[in-house]
Amino acid sequence: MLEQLRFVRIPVPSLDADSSILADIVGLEAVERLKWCARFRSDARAYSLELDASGAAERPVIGVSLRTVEQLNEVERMLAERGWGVERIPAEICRDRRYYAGLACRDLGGNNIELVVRAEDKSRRCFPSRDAGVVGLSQVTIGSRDPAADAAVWTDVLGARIADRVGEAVYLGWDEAHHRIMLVPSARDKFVVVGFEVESIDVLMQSNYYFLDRQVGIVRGPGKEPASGQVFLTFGGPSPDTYFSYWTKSDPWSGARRPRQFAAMPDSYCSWGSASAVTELGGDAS
Amino acid sequence: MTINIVDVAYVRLKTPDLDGACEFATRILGLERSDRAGDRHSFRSDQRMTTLSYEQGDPSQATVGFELASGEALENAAATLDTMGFAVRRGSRSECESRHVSDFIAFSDPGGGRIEFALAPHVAGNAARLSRDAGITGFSHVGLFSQDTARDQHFWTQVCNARVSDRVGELPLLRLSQIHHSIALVPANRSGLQHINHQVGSIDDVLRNYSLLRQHNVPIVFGPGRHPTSGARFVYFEGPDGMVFEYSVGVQEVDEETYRERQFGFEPASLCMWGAKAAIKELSN
Repeated sequence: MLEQLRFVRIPVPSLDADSSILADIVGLEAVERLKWCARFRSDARAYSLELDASGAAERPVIGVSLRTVEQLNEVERMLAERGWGVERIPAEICRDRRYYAGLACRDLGGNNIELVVRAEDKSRRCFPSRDAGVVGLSQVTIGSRDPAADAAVWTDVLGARIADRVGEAVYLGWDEAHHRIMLVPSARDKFVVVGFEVESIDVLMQSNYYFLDRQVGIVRGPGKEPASGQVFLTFGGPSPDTYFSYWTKSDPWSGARRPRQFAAMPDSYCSWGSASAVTELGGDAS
Repeated sequence: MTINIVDVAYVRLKTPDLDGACEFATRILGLERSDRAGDRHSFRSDQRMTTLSYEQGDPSQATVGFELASGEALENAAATLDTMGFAVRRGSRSECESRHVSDFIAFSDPGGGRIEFALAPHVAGNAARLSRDAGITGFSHVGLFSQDTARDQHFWTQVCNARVSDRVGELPLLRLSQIHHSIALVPANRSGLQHINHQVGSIDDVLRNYSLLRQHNVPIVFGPGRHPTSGARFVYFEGPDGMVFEYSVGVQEVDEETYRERQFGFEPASLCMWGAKAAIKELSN
């Protein structure tokens, strides 16, 4: 039922400073600048990242697309029965956000999940201002007070599958990638790691040295995630709880595989032995 | 007659702190300690009986051994070097045994670096049992300091059979086989051994070793990075007595018929396409 991890909307205090981070550091293309929001492309989508300075949302919003309005109607009731907060998004707002229809949901822990249908793509290819080799929005890591309970709603109602687990954390996927969403135990309401797939280890390592030269705060990596086989580089975003991450392509998902349980220890988050400053991802508790 | 070198075979190092160096070779570098003869400790990195050894002595007196193809090639090499005025010394039986070779000659190259040409480095039936899971697949190449790269390049490519694969500024990378390079001639105001390369199995090994080296406070002098010349992903670090060691993976192979040497500018991006900067005097100006 789930089609694509579609976008992430991040609440920010001001657009100006944060917009330049996304274009000049992350390597996205700034495409739309409205009064209270700025939008960025990473691939064929109209946008995959939005900065929201309207004050409407306190927590980040994760947008995931479904195929049809019928599916949206079908899950609306089921999600509500499982304890999610579900609201229909008015047509005018949908239009403004460049999709046909949507449900604004809050999961059991209060994470904002937007389920949308027919989100817009663009005919022209993405043309970012920095050659970071971004291929597209590929995955997000969000916090949860009870990852097992949250994951059950994703699997039972929305048809996601559990790819693997690390300690209490759960990797959720639904397509050819190892996972698209990782639910990690976190006490931080606004915790999010927005992940972009990059074309190769070469561009990821080039970003590593680019960041070191410019004193961009790398919080994790370069490292390699044992579960997905992805090489990663995670760095700080506009707010203390917001991070960005580059990822190489994951090992392809095989339906024949059983979910594995990785022990809750640093090695399970990085097989190269890189340091992590993110408590939720194998870092030392600060 | 051209001296036909088949491959680099071994390095013989000297150190004032033999225990410390042996500790490094096994616990940090990850080699297998193979045998001990007198005050010399030998180590294995691959199928060969030994590819590195340490003995008590002056670190500047390192020796690099190369393999020649046949006894005839060895005799020809001795004659050629002799004609050119090099003082050639024949290895004794016991010296051959300690090197695990059938025969060898020793001489000093034009810059004064200690070189040996050896016959039939012995191999064992089993691969090296590494002291730790460093992923080492074998000893692969050396960097040699050169006070006169034109002179030394002439020796290695005209007197011997090395071919230039690429140049970074005045630093030629020389191949002896299809492997992109087996010798790097590093311009410097000294001669001798500049670095010792071991190949590892994968990029994971390079980065895992990098983490381990950092945990042990081993000075990282370059990398992790990737050479645009050979394509190899690498990390360089400092061992005992300031000797530089390298782990790398993915050195490209060269098609002798179609390959053309390239000239890269002498700049950081020519040494690392990822953006790492070398903390090695001769590679950073």
